[in-house]
Amino acid sequence: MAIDTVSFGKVNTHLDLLFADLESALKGSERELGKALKSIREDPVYRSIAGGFPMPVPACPSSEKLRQRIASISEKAGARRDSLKTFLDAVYRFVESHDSAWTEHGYFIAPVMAQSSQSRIAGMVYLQAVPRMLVTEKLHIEDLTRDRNLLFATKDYFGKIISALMKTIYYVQISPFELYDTLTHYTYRLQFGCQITEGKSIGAAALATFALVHFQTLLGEQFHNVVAPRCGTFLTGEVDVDGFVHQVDDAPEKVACALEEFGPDLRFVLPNENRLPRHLEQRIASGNLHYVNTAEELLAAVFSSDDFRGLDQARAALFRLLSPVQRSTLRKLIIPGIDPYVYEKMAERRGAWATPRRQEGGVYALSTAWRDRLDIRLSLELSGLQDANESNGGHELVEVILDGSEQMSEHWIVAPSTGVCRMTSALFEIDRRIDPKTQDLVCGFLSHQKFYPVQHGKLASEIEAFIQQIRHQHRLEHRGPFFRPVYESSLREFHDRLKRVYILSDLDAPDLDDLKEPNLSSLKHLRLFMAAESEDEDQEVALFDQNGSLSQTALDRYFQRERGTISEIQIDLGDELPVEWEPAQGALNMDGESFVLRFKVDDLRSEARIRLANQHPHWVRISGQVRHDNGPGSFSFVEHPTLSALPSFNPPETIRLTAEEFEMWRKFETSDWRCPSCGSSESHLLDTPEGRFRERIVFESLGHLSGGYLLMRKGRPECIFFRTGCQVSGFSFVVIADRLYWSQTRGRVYEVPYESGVYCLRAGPEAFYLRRV
Amino acid sequence: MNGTVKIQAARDRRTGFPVLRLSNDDPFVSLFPVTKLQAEQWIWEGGLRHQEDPYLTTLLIERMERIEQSQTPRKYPESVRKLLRVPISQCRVENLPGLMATNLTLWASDEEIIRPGVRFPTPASEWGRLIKWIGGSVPSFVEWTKAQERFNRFKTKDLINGVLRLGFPLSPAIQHLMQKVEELISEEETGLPFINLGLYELISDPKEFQKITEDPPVTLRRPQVAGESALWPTVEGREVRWRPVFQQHLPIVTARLWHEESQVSDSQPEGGFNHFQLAANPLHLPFEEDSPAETGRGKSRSALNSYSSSRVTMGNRCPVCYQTVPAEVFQNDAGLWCYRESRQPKSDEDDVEVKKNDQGVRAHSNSKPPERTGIDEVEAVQLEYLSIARRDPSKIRSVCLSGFSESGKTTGLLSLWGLMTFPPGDSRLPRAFPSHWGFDQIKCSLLDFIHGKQLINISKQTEQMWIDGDLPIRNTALQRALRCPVLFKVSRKTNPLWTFNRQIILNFNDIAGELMTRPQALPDHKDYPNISTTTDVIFLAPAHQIRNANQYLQEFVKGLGVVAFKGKALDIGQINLILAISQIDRLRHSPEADAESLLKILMKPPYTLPDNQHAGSSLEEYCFAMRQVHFGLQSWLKSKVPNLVTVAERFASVRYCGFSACGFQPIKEGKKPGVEACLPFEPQPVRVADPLLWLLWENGVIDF
Repeated sequence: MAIDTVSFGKVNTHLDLLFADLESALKGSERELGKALKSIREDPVYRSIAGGFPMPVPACPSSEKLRQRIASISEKAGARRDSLKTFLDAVYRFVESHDSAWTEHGYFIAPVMAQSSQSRIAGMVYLQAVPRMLVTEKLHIEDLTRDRNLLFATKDYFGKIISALMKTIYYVQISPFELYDTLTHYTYRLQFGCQITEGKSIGAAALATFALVHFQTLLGEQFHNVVAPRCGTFLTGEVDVDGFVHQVDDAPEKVACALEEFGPDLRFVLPNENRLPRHLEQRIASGNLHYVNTAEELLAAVFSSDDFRGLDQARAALFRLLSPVQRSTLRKLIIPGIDPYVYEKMAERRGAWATPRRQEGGVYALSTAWRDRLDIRLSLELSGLQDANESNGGHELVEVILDGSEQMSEHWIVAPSTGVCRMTSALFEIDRRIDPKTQDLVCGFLSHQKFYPVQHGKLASEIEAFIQQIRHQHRLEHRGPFFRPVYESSLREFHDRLKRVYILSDLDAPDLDDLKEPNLSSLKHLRLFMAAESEDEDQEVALFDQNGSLSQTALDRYFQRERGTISEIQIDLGDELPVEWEPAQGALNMDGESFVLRFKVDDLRSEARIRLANQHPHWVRISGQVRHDNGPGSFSFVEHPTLSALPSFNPPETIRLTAEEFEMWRKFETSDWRCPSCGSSESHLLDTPEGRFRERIVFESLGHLSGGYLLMRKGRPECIFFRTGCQVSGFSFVVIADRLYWSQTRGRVYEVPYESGVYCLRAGPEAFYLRRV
Repeated sequence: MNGTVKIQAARDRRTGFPVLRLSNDDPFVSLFPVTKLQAEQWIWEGGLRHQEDPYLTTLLIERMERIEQSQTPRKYPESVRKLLRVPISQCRVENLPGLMATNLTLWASDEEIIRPGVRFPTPASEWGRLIKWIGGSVPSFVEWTKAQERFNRFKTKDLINGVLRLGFPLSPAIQHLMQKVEELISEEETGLPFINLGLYELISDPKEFQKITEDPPVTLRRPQVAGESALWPTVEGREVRWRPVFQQHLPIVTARLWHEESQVSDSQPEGGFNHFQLAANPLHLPFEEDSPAETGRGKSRSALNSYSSSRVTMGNRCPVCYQTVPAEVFQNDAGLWCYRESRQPKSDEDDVEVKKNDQGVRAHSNSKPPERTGIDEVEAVQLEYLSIARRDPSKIRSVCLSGFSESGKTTGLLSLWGLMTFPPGDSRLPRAFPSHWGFDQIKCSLLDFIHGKQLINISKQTEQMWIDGDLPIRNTALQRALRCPVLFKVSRKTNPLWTFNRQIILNFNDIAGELMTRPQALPDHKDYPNISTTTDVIFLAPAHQIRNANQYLQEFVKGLGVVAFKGKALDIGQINLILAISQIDRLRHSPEADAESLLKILMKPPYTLPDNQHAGSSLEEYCFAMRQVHFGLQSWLKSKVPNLVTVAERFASVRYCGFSACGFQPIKEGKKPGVEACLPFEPQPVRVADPLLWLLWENGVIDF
């Protein structure tokens, strides 16, 4: 069977043809059957699958057809079944051996065009990471491909792809060579050898394969918990050294080839510039087609899933593995605008131990990001940051850690005047200041691995008896003032709680500084008495004054509830373009190259939900105004979002034109157009009826829309109504400073042309019409 | 590269610190020595709950964290401050060892160390309890060395990184610590962290010592440590050492634990342990010492300025009081006694008066003086000494140890004495000589040094230093210093007809360093009458004060100039000088730029005494190196401290050398009465015998 008669790489199709030959041979003589079997034994595709060729994607029509063929031929063969057994078994094993999880046999599909004497034929090659024995030499192109063009033309072609990959993953301008090292320990082969004529189009698949091996090598067993590559993902695109994905030739033919072989359930990742014809798009199952502009988007499309796995998770895991020296090296090469401490921030699950830092103006902030989503919560109270429906009822946790060591014994002695010790006095006063509706108080001890809840309103004598018993029972005076046990206990028990942590001790816990950084931003060490030789009295806080009385000022400073309101917030998103946000009253502006969202609020807390055109920023600058009882104030700080799954936005409101209206809409901008409202042949979308002062949309079914923008697409009955922005077929439309802008690729924003009272964007066969209503 | 090696990793069951091994037959070795994090965990999980006084916990924490060190910084050498706790995030390469658990006791009471079969750390000690709690054991020296060599094939960074990548659920503190160590350790570092250059690590082989000055003799046992310390200033080279520990809770000893499979976690359900693969270097080759440079090897005795042996001072002279003894008494074949005779008191009141004013006079007799009031400080002169002194007084050299105050004269002498004494019966100094030489040393004791209690007892002090690790308080000008003549003999057959016989008595006289600042007091000081008889001077200049040495030597020369011998002023031109730079261990951690070049000269290998019972360098090679040091130092001093060379060259001859009496800096605790400082380990003297060997060489006892 010649390559020009069967598209190469279509293994199932090829096997089906072999079955067809076999079926006809079965009808003939023994000699014909023997001839057919000999031909099969020499067939390169059959030999490949018998030798462990990559497995097909599951449940595709072609593999289902193969199953049926096996059953059918087994039945027809009758007495001659034994002679076919080897072949049938090999095909059966091939078809049935698929494992839905990504295994060592997983592969990506790279479409290519093969040049035969008569024509160009679309085909597929299968990229499989083949871990070989560890080698110390650097990457050899010979190990990567058998494509002569790639072997002899551009020696560093794969090197550029790896460089683009490292720059993307690690946010660097130049990739430090050390990061390649893990890749040099493996080599890769393009399976199913064939001649590739469009060598550069395999760049996207090669990039994804390199990324996959990088993750596998470094993350080991964590790999499957972090990313979710899908076996058989179809990837095409030329990747340049800066990480942009460019268009390839013959994309529709290549996609059609893959669809014929594997059907609609294949995941397709194509360059944004290679928009598929409509009929092809419709053949691909919903959610399986991804157009990408950059390596970042490509990796996100390949490795993400809906179950909280993806590129960001992979980054977090990789950054955790970076040594401080490596982080430092990367920091020197980081892309301008990216937070230099992005490695630490992403690696550490911020907020796991302690509360967000109290920013200037008394504002607490909590930001969460995932893919194209970003949520920011601000509050003047810590408890305001927690959702009311969260498991702990939205209560803020106050952890008070007492020191029971021998050196603190004098503070554990019961004072005759009060009947309680100083530790109890302090804890009792803190409890009095706790708001039980929003806060929970727990008490822990240095060198002790358990927290005890303090029920609000307990009598001082009850608290006294309780904490003295704990100290005595666990012999805490024999244990010393170590912080680590209680720290780990808090991580274990309250890792998901927002909390404030206070240590009550006159001693410096020897290991406190070991653990304090980098997460313990809100930990406060409160002394009972000021040390005589205190070096920094401004920083140190004593709960008791020199006369031995509890300092109400100090207690109020840390345990009094905040009063005031946040009046205005500005969120600087850098060069990441937002397309949708809530509350929709927020206004988007440009400040130089940065996009700034501004919200007016008047509340103790505020929350902004944002969806971005491409990806979430890794840091945002939040500034704004607050009004306290003692006057107005302002705040400005940089916040690094914590990575966590976020619900996606509801899709924008879509209204379908009636059949009659759609018929007319198809004639828009043609001579056949007749305005449904005024009957004019001039193409227009808005009309001012007699006796009315305000324009209204000419289609009756859209007349109820107001307070936003209407988007209509040429030749489509669906209309989209949005207030802040929307994304349609890879185009982002967003309102910036009351003007409408569009963007197709990251970093490029253009104003939508305004024609005859309508915003109109024409892009090839596509045309978008927008109008404020 | 020799391919890759599979390294199995797990965590200890108690604290979760990583452990490694290379094959299933090996025990697991802790990646780190026991850290403060582990020791703290032991404390908070009730490690000290058995004790009644909770304040002891506080003391232990302070000791372990070395909090008290910050208040008394001079207690230990400066570099030991690196053991002060520094938060992990602020650690630097220099203070990285501060992460390790230190300062815990290795034995709990003195009764334990006299018990036969005792193993260290003892179960009752803090280290013993901590190690038992973690679940591990201390390796033997052989096991330790084997692990060191095998893991030296891997980069330290790779080992740490390999463990981190396995994704063990390490606690945040451990992970933070590992990342910090990985960050700080250099790319070139190989082997398990800290095993090559960090802290001395405890090994399970104890060492026995016998104190013969005790009645009856007592056998003591001490723990030993292996490795090298980056903290303690030491002049050692790169070879692995193991040395006994003298201090119960020495700050720089830590322990790296060995674990059985049952003591570690993370075994996989299907058997085996997690592993990672690393590229391995070829097995570590033993340290190749520099071959002796040619400098000095070709230079013969004639290249050195001539040694003066013309001055004979000990004829008819008592070696105890250095007074002239009537010839008929001295040359008498009977023995010789030296004693103090005071005036007989006439009444009780007079007795008080006599004791107050009468210093008495030294007298000599050929028979033991009667035991009566007015006669005391009776000392006998040894017969071996007398036989030579009567026959050939030129064979007696009166050697004056001089130098700065606290320059290490007494310590140097005790260190040298230790080489002559330990191990008893087979001491180190004779073993430096070729066995066919018939070398012998006879201490011509002036006192009953074994049990004598009256005056300074050099044997007692030597045991104190070499077995107890206590350095005696320095001599003051008000007391007599160590003084002891030693007879050195060599008898070897050079051919069948002729036997080469040489013998010399060197009378070592220590003097108080503070006398150097009062040269006018030298001539007639009653406790230092030996000065006028001096034939050789060993002048000690501490390495860190070498630039001021010329002033002190000038003062000493001035003082000698006014000392009279037989009515004439001493002629410096007839006295030989050995200028020794002492305390060279300090150069290892000196901030001065010249320190390295000076140390390089002084550490010309071989720098420890050869041993005829082991293969290695010979005495000849050692003496050649000694000469290289002489010429190297001479040119170094000429360029750096030319005035010192100028003053030194006023003597008949000058020989330059340098030594470290202990090999490291002592701990200046001074807690015990009569103790100036404590030694953490058994002394490892470096070149301390050089002045002696120079004297033996110049007097023909050594002849190459």
